[in-house]
Amino acid sequence: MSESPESGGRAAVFSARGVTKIYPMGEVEVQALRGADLDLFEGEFVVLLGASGSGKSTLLNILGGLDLPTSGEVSYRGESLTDFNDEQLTEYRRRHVGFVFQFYNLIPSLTARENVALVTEVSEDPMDPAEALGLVDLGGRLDHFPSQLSGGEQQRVAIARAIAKRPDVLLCDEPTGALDVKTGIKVLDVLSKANRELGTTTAVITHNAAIAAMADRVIHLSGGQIAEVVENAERVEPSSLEW
Amino acid sequence: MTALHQKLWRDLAGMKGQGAAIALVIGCGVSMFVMAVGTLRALERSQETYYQRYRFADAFVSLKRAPLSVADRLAEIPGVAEVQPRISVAVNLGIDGVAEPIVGQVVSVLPRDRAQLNRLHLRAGRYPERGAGEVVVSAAFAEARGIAPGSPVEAVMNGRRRELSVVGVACRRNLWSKSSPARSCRTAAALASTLWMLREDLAAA
Repeated sequence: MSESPESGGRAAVFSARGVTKIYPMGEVEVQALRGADLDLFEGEFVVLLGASGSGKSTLLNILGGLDLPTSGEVSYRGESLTDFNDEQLTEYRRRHVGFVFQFYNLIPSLTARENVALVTEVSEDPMDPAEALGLVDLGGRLDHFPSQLSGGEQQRVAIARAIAKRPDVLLCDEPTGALDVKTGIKVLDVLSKANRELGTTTAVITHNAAIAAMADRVIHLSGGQIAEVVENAERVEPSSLEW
Repeated sequence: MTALHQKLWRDLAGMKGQGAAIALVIGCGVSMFVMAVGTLRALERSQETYYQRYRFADAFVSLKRAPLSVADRLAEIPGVAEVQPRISVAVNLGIDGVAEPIVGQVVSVLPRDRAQLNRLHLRAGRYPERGAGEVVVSAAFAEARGIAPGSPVEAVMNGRRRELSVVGVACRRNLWSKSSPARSCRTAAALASTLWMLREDLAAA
């Protein structure tokens, strides 16, 4: 196991070096990432900001073990994800990573509690589903089906499902993309709360620059590369955000 | 019950109609299969019973002008339980009111009380008796030509014309193995026939 990079006394959870990703599309090759270098540190809240096609989702998918880079190195707590086989990647995703996507991906025929239980039943040391739903302020809607919940509530169920297994990292791909401002802020508030209370390293992808203010660090992506990394002196409360 | 099982039951409950339709289709399919298998087995049992009852031979060998002693030698082959020699002669038949030539095959049989193999399954009339030029005709030919026991048939055997008398109508013993379309079977039956005659009579002819 190699030594993890550190910043300000914090250990890097993820370390990516020279990551490229090329998708062959017939005779054409689409290069989504062009040598991205990145570190994510323990317990921090990071926003990955960039225009559509800048490589944000590709980078997040690689960090989350959903995809493999074409070249470069990605390590998680010193272990090289690029050397993992499919089984190891599955185990890594199951034990360490929580995902939140733009479109909630809830099972329509299961209640909020059962949707969360779907994950807790296969996890080690999970929260009780009701506790996880309580953390996202849905304690009163445990037995509601997704069709009986608003978009924001469904996204909060998705967040509860992601945090219920006490993941080390929470990767969120446009979690507010399908929500209005008010509901989006509520969802961001829940993510911020999970980050603070559980200490879960959280990375949120967005193209909404207003969200950047609530992060510890903001990583700007452009053309498949890390264009800029900005460290916020202070995290703004999601309720103060406007867009 | 796990959440996945819960999902399974709810999803199944949500498509009760489709489930019932699928179950019905599967049920119909299984019923058809059982019926088809039952019919096939019944047919196979009938075939087996028919062959056993009329001692249908397992193997046939054609020889040209072979001495009867060959039958004794064939009977010595291990696994051969019984050998029955018979004579088969091609004939031209003449029937009153029929212009076209009819070809036939006269096959020898043993008298009823001595017949061990290939017994005739009579549908009408009786077994032929010795010395009277009596024959049994196949049922399909009899039906196609309107022949019944008592009908006269003229046959040219070995270049000589003979008056034969139909005394019985029998099923072809190897009928089960025939699989011609019905029309061509009828046509073939009208233009060709198998006749059975006592071996002594046929040998003398």
